[in-house]
Amino acid sequence: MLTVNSLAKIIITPNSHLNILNNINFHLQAGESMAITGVSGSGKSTLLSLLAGLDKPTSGQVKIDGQSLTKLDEEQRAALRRDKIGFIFQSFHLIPALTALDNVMLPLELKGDKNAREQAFNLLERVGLSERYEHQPLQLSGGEQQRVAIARAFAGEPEILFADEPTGNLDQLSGENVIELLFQLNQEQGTTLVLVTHDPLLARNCHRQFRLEQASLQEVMLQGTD
Amino acid sequence: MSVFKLALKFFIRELRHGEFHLLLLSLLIATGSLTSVSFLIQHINYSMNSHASQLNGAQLILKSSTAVPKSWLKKAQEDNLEFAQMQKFTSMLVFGDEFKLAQVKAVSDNFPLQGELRIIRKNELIVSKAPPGGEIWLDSRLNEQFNEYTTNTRSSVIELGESKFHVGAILQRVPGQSSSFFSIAPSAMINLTDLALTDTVQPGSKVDYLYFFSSSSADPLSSDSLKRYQKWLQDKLLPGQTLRSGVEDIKAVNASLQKAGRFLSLAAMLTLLLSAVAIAINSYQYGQKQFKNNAILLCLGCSEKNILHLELFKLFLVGLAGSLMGIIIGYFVFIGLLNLIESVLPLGTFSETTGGELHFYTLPIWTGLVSGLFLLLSLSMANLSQIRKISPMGLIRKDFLQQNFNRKWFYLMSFSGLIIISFWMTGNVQITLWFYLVLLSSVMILYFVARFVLYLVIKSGRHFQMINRLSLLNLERHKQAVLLQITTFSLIFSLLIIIFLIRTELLENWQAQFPKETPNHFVINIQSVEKQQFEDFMQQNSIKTQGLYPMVRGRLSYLNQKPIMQAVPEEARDHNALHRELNLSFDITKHNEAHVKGSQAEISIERSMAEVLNIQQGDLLGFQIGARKIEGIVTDIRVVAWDSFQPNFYIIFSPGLIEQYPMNWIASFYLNTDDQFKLNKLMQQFPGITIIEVDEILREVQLIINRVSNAIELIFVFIVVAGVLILSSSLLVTLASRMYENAVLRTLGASARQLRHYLFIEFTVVALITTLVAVVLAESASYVLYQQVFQMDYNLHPQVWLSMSIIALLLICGLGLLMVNKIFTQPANLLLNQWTE
Ligand SMILES: Nc1ncnc2c1ncn2[C@@H]1O[C@H](COP(=O)(O)OP(=O)(O)OP(=O)(O)O)[C@@H](O)[C@H]1O
Ligand SMILES: [Mg+2]
Repeated sequence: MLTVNSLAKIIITPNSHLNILNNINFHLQAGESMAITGVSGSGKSTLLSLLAGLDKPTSGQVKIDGQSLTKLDEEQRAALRRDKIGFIFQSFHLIPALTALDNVMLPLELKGDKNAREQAFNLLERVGLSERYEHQPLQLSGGEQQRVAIARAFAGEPEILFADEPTGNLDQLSGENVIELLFQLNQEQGTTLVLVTHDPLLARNCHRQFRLEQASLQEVMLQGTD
Repeated sequence: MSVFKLALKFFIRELRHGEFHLLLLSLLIATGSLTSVSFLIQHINYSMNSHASQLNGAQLILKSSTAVPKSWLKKAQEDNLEFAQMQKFTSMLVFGDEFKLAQVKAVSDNFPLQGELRIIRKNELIVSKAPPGGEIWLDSRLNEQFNEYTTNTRSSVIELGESKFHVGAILQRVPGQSSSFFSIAPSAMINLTDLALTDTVQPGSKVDYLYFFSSSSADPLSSDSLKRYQKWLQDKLLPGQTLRSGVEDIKAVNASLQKAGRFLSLAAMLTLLLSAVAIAINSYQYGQKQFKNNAILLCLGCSEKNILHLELFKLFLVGLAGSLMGIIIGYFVFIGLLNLIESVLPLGTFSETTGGELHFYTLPIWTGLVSGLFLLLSLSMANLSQIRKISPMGLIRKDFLQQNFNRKWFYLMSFSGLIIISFWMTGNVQITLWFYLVLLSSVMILYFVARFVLYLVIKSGRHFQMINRLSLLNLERHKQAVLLQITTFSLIFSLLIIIFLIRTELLENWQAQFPKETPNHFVINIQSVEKQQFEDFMQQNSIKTQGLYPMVRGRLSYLNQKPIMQAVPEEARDHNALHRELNLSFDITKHNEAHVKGSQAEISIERSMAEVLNIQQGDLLGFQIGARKIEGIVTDIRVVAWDSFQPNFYIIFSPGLIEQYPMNWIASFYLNTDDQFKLNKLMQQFPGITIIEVDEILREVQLIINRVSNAIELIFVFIVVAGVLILSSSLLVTLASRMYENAVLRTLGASARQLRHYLFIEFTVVALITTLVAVVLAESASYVLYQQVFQMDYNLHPQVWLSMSIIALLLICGLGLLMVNKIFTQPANLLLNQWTE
């Protein structure tokens, strides 16, 4: 499903070269889930946006479903995101002018789905926000906004879902709810999950765990725990 | 001290980053339009005041219908005065087999005494005295026709009467023409000594003899001798002779210049207002950006007062730079306007009085500088004043976005300032107030119409698919900016449409609507003894006339026994009819002499004149005909269709009273172009008559309209730039939220086509509503022009709608899409980071 070959991201500033990511390699099967951990500033968000085709790498390759992202132009990458990719941002990125329902409808409508409204409403129901569908993002709490973002990410029925600290802004209880939701949807729709997280509980729930350190990605071998 | 240094540093840095570009441009437009027109008005006043006095009484013009006694000229010589002569008459010029009616001016060698006779000889503009013998100089209109002929036949000889002339030059400007706005017939000039040979002037011919007297300039005392001579002449004048001094010419020029200046100041006021709006938007935009910086400075311990000083000083620098640039641009536009105006009006005297010299005018410079600074600072204060009301943390958290500040008072203050600046520029309270009244009410109407249409569009768009519904949502959210765009542009567009229509089709249509054989020639000065002969001539040459009408010249002098000036309402005292001799006629179809009682007759009066002068049925009107007085009672008020091109009169008497006075006859007839040679025969047989060609009048009107619109269009460049500035600045205000939304949509996989589509819908709605409102306004205005002013059938102009919508679409969609163009090429992540606050 997701194949990464010697991926690197170097940011060139007038005074220095910033080596954020260096020679990243891994492969993820369809339906698998993967957690990426690492200290702040280690490059997790950068990696995630490269994987999702939101950004261009300095070198190396990302393949989704056998399709190499680097060979596509901005327009084709957008089409790929629309058809196969879901993304949950660290800071949600909901459109403030639109209601919760409208926000969830967007990916469906971009695909030209006729039943967008119905499906979006169902998704909001799943995340427990059916009462608040007419509210705008600013009228919702942080956790509620995050749930709208999750509903939006799932709305397009993506084959692969990227989530950047989906529980970062939440209290314990809401965090657990969100995690549960993610895996529920993962199981129902067979979605491949790529999660960035600080939360050990969330990481532990994933099939595979990786750690980003000094610009390179290392798989953490899971030890049997009871 | 350090605050100012800091301000200077910030100013330079922000200037480099382009923070001030739009603000500077708006200021430049505001001060540019303001100073250009103020320079012009100042120049007119200066020239008139400083030079007119030198010219006062320096020239005297005697006009006579016969040659004056030799003794008069001798007396002038004795009094040490110079004099020049001109004989002016209408005659037929013959180019091979083509005939053209022209006004011929035969001038003495020393013409002109004062002012410049400008001609173009061999493509070079030169100042000259009278033409040498054997040469004829043509004005540009005749020259065009003549060129057509010469290119066909390769002959450059013109026949005038019995003589042949060689075309030597083109007349560019003839002095002494300033008193009438346009000369009806095209004109040509020859030397007076050649006149006798042409044999065109016969006894009884209608000729104006003009004598120009001037004091020799070297002798300052001699202007007294001119005055003495004027007095001496005054007593000797016979009927048909008039005396005119140079002062009157200057007054006439002054009046038309003032009118032109006022006209342009209207356009300048509009520009000023629009650019003030642009300044307001841009300073708001700039102020919002500054909040964050200032918040940080506050947190770091900078005092509120210092921040205020910093901002004010920075704005002062911006204001200074923008205004100075505007003043420089304004000066060049002023030079352009001056050239255009000079070609619109017959301003021989104007250039002569100024000698083409430009004074260094300081008032417009101060006007521009002070106004520019005032506008910028007062409009920016609306934002600056808020700093005082916010805590540092509040600034950072952007609480102010939620808080609704009351900017009303600042904008009101700026607006009042704007009105005062306008007074300053126009120097005319009435015009300024009218302008703002009319403008505000039309803006009001435009605004509410636009708002209503926008409301309907948004309402009806509920069923759109959502990505497209986003466009409507945007329209709703940015309603104020959108309405501002629509109102501004529909105002500009409708003005453009109206000017365009007047310029292109109004006069043409007006001419075209006349039935085919509408009279296109007038003949005046047919004497009573010639009347029968004239009618015979017309019949023999199968020219259809609409009959001959009698004409007696007399002055309206009494109304109900009171002197007319006291009897009419005060505002009517300028009416043309009170200041000149009217052509009185009588009804030749009525032979009932019972209408006349003693020296009183019945009078039919034209309606508009009766209305203005407040004359009712039953009023007693007294007329002065020569030395005698006659009276009549108003029994009829007529509506006259002046555009029927048939002889019409303000006053028609019942028969039996005015026949005894010396009278002339007037006729009108239709002649197609192939029959022009018949005019020649007519003039040979009746040398005393004057023929007026209607086509020439209309052509002249068209010419004047074109030139006036050229001058307006020059100012219109300012107006359009100000409009585009408002559009782009108001788009910029919403740019951040737009870019953010687009970036999010892009991450969700929206294609460029989808994004363009929804943006396109949004801008298209704006463009189409703009066009709609503009077209409605322009069509209603032209409806009034057509129906009320020109009494013509009114047709809609779908081709104008179409082209306006295309222009609006290109402009608004083009600019809108251009601004967000980055969306389509940059990685989504970059966009998202860049446009998230
Ligand atoms: N466009 C850029 N220009 C300069 N530096 C950048 C850019 N993008 C990322 N960086 C740097 O790359 C490093 C990694 O950033 P990134 O946001 O990926 O970290 P992160 O692991 O997500 O951190 P966090 O856990 O705090 O979200 C940071 O040091 C950041 O400053
Ligand atoms: Mg991050």
